[in-house]
Amino acid sequence: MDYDLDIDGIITRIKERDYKRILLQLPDGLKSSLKDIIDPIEQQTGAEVITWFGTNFGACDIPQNLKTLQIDMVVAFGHNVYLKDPEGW
Amino acid sequence: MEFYFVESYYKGDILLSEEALIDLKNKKAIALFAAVQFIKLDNLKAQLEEQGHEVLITHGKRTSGKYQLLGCDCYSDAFADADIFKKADIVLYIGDGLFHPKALLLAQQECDVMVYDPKTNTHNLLTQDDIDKQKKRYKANIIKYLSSDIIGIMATTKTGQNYLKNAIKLKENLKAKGKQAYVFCGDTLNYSEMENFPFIECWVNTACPRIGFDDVVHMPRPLININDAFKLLGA
Repeated sequence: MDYDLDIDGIITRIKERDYKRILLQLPDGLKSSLKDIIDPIEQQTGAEVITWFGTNFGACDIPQNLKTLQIDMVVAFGHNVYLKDPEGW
Repeated sequence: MEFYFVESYYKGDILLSEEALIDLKNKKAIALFAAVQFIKLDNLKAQLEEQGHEVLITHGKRTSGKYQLLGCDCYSDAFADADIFKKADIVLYIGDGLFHPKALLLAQQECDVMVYDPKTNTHNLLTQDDIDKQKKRYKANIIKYLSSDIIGIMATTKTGQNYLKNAIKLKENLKAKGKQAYVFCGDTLNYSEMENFPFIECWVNTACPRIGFDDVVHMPRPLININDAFKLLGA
């Protein structure tokens, strides 16, 4: 893998916070590597890990309407914090 | 619920090849950009400075990463330093793919954009000719917008791209000019849906600015971006 996906950091975070259900959001370029990401997280935390099956245009495109799925943490790969200007562009 | 971003930084060394340095030789001032995966560029910056180049740095206003731009940074005032392209002789983009470097062509007309892929150590040059098709279509859409009496304004429910407030403001401005305007919203904007509203003569996009440029060549109906829609009304 050419990219630092911080799998150990994600696992530590899940364990420390006792998260039970995680959603992974991957850019298209990482989707074929899903097994390398999801398998160690599930195996080492016991959390239920679900993968977003929708678009991932950027940090502006975070999955919504997740309340009914009782997700504890969304892990968004390939992006960083997005500073939206509320006045528009 | 927590959102946790993993930038997914590229793990390899990021330095320019000898061939790329030769092609940059006559460019004194270089504006340096990257997508987030490739923003660890201090060594590359030092490499350029050792060769006598001046390296110009800014970032997209919606990002915090040094050197970073987003794909939506495709208009002139999207960057913290709005004058960087006037000072530069060339733009150097580090990364793979064309989505981000095309933003750099759309944002300005002063400089060509060299794209350097650190995974393959290859580079190529993009010029305004590479976005000619999109620019021509967009200009035609602007003419259509000005002559349209019935306008559809698209908003998205995506949190980071939701500007419904501006969509409603534009609707009011259009009505004040004697036009009819209707606001639509959805999650991912499905352009084929345009055809279900054939009475709409021109559409305005309020979501991602790239919709107005990249996707516009595939759309069945004319569409322009909201920033231009306001400007053209003198608003």
